Amino acid sequence: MEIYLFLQALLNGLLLGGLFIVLTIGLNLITGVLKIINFGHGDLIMLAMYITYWLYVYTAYSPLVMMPTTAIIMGFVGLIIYMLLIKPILRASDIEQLLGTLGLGVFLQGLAQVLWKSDYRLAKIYAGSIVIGNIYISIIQLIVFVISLVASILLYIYLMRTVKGVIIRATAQDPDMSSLLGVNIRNVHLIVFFLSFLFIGLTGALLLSMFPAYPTTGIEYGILAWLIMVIGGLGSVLGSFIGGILIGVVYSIFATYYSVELARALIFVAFILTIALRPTGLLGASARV
Amino acid sequence: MINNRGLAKIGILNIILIILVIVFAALAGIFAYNYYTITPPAAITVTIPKTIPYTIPYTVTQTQYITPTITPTTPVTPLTTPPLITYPEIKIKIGLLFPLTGALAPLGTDQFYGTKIAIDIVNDLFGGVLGRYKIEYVVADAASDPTKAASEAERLITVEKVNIIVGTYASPLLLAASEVAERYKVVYYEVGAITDSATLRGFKYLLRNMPIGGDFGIVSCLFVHDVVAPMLGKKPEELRVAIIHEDGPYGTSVAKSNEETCKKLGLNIVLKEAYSATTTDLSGLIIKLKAASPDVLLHTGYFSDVVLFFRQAQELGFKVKVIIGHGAGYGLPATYQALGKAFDYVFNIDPPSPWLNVNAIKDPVMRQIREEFIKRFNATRGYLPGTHAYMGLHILPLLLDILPRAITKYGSISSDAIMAAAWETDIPEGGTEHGYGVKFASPTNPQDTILGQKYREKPQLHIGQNIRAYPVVLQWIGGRVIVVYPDYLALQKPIIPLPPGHPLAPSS
Repeated sequence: MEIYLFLQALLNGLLLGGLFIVLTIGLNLITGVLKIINFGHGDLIMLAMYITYWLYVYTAYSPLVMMPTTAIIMGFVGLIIYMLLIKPILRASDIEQLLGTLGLGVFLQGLAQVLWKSDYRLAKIYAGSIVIGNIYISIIQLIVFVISLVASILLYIYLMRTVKGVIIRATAQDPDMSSLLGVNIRNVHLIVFFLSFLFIGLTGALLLSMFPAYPTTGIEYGILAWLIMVIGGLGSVLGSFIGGILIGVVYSIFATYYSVELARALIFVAFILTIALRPTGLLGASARV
Repeated sequence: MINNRGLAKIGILNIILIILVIVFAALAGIFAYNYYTITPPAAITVTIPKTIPYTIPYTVTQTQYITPTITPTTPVTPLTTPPLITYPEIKIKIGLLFPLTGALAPLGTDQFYGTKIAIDIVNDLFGGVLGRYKIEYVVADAASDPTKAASEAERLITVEKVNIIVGTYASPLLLAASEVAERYKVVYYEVGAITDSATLRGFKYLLRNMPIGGDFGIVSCLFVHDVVAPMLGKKPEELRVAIIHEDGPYGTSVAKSNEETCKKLGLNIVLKEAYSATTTDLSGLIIKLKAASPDVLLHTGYFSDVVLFFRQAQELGFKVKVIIGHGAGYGLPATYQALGKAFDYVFNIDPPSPWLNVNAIKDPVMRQIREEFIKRFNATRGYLPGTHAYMGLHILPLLLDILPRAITKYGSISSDAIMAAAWETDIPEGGTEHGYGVKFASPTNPQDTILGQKYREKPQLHIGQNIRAYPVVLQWIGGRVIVVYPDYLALQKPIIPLPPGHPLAPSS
């Protein structure tokens, strides 16, 4: 194949990486700081997609314009979910957390089914691209990539360079000790939840400008987010970023030169290898958060 | 321990909060849903042509296709029924089993409404079966899950005591539910699922009035060979054909018959590739397609993946002259709403839509039913019926031909009487609203469909399959799926290649 096809595949991989990252950010924060196993992540994205959709229907603004609104609404949804569901299971065992959040996901699927039926809900698809020579760059995927890049960098700076970030990380490492030192654990958790749901809202709005919303749409996103996060390193922002890009590029090149069908299986192979060989993920425990 | 609230502390306040949130969400959702249904944002408004001013303008010889022998027929069932000496006391109760929730629901719901409206029409306009037996129906939700479909079938039979189950739109649901019906010796009448294998299992109580999946792949290749190649000014062997499909049983089986038939017809297949229907990225596939530069793309996919394909194909500058889909995502109004212009002039293989050459329907009663159906469906759902909703009318031979014969000739609607009546059904071409006739392959004479007998490498031996049913080629034009092939069913001439200005049309 010609060289431009290779470049195109590489570029597609990068952009796809952006999508993978944006799926993972919200999950990452919750996992990293609260040590909660959140299996409802995909369905929360689904909820955000529906919120964006209804905003789009009522206001007729594109999902991208509605992104901040969705993000803030989801932020408050996050606070409610924290108070109702997460607080009681914070110190519970992994299994109980898993079941709790999985239950949340099933509940949300059922709720969406009852309220909005299972019709596919989709904003008008926008399919513009920038053409440079023979290379095509999808505008919407470029936006996703830039947003995931900026969000990751901001989050990283926030966690590593600000006092709040230090407190959050300290809480993540040892909640009891931080509490003894005067940190209000509940407030830290609320901030983290608000932040991560902000990102989930953002993700939902971005996804709705590319994919349809329907009650079971979150399952695939949830699985993908978990795979990328485990490969990148549980709860590591930088790890997911690198992991997302890496998986995206490998996926794209493999799909282009070998098999589209097997490319998806490749992610799972990477997942299994990570679990077997390096359970802490690419950027192991040392670089966590 | 500090700040350890543990599991147990769920205060009364929290419980009230939970309830409040649920109630609020429910109210908001119901309000939102109602609001939405009153003013759908992207309703397609098209006028329904009353008469067909069209005479077939193109002179492609279609030696490959079925040439129907249309004999003048009397109406299938006259509106006034002949008097009988004694009418048995019969209650007709039909179980409607469709996926109304879950992943398969968008099209399943459409088909359910199609079937329901068909029954309503028979009840309202004909006064029921034979003009005197009103048809009752019970609705069951197969929930897009074979296990649920089977248990619902069981409930319909044992609890609701239905005489017949009608379903199911999706093949996995049909396979599971018909097995239950067969065990209880209850007639299972399929109007929408296409998998070949359903009627290859030797079941004695299964009837299917629906083209089979294996024929979809045959028809698209015939269309490419008979119509596309001449219209593009190329010899069939010069035409570059690419086949892409989702990797489930549906996509794989269609793609297999695509490959078989196209090879047999001497077409040049330049790429065949599968992908997962739940994928979030198809850019790799599209780069491959660009490298293969096909003239014709044969695609089999569901909704999300078809939308994804069209978006990324536009973004990555993929150009092609003809796109032919095989049902599912390609037959869905939602796909057109999502993609708009990019989906115009795309072809789809499916049973005939309501937008066919009405003159091909020889039976005036059937023409009347078609018009009534369009009117009622539009009133109920707020949009014009597509192919999947129209498939609901596949139930008509059961209500207007099989059941009347079972009652008048065999005196009951026991499963055996219905099946005996079904084996005698012989509706000629032009005798149904879909254009094709009805003849079920019986256990004494299992046979392949008419298309299959002609083109399949190894003929399949179906029992209970309507061998006269066949899919046709439809084209999306202005939000409607219009029949364009074969000639005698065609409402208008196909538009080939994609016209300039179409996002996927080659610029030259």
